[in-house]
Amino acid sequence: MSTLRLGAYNLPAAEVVLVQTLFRLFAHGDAFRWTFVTAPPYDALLVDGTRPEGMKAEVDRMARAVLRLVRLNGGDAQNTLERPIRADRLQEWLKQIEHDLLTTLQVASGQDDQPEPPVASSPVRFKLRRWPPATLLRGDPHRIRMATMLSRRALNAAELATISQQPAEACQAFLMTLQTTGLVDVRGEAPPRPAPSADQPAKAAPAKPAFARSLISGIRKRLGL
Amino acid sequence: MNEYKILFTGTMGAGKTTAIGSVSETPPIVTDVVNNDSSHSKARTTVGLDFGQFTLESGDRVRLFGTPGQSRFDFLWKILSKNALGMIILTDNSRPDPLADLRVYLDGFADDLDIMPCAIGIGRLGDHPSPTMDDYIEELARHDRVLPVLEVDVRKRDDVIMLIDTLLAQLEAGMFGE
Repeated sequence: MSTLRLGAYNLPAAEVVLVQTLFRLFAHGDAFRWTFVTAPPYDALLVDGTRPEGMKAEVDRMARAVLRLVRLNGGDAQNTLERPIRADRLQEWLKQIEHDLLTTLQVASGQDDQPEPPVASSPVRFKLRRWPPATLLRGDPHRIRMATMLSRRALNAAELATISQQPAEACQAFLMTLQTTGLVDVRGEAPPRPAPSADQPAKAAPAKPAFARSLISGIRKRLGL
Repeated sequence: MNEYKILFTGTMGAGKTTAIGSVSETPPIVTDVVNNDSSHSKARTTVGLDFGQFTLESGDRVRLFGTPGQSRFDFLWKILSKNALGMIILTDNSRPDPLADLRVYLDGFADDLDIMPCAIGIGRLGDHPSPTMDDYIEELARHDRVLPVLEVDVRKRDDVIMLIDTLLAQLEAGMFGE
């Protein structure tokens, strides 16, 4: 039985703990397919619908289903849940989403000619549209370095692997995570053009590329990186 | 021998002097005086610039400059940013409005930021959780900037090195394809 992943975005810690507790209770039933996760990818996401960032379109791209928590008597629009969180209503929503997602999966698996999303293995390039949250980077220097490079220019997985000197699989997985969470824009397939910023660090362009690479590796070596 | 420059900027008390001291091979040269700015409790503050450096195997030197914290010294910012490899903006989350502080530097260095690698280091986030990292990221988005935003303790060398590494990564990405 496949597991579905629910995450939370910018929710107060007390509500996260409450949902985690409810999940432990729900898990006593055999039919509960959900697990609460703290990192993407997400199948569904709980967000704070009372905060501006919770209403953004980017949030809707972070998961296939989004449930917004609203104030008491804040309305009963689709995919909203009034505070305080009621276990029965949360469970009801999860069951509905589970049904929708699994139906979609079954339909998709029967359609081999479905167009593939522009995954990281393709030549399509990705550029960071927003710096990722700390929970996604997890303080990992390699992830931080990859995110930094993607903040500067559009790259595909192979190019990112070349520059960051990370395994292609790691770059691909990271790009897919960023794509799932809506943090990257998909760009065309034009060959990379040197960004003016790096061509000319601080206007005076002290270094030609080969020399600059030597300088960068020299600094890294000196700093123990 | 060539010399390169990395700039540290940010508000008074954000930790520019400490950050430079974390990676400099020599004790930073500090131009501090007694602070008579009543808006800040810090006893001494930098009025000129801080300076540290480290030497590469090639003999080249990387100089680390810290700007004076107060915006009344912003005439020095332009001078110091000229020809820099990159810039690190340090913020102090214990201050009354750290996002407004960030805006001062995003605006003050706007021309430089169009081309110069830059990273944001947020200090004292643990004790002062608001504004959040996401608030900073949102503030940058309002300025059409996507820059690395990292929580830092400038007393920790590894944290400062991580910020410098993001500057290098931006340079590398920019050179790709050449």
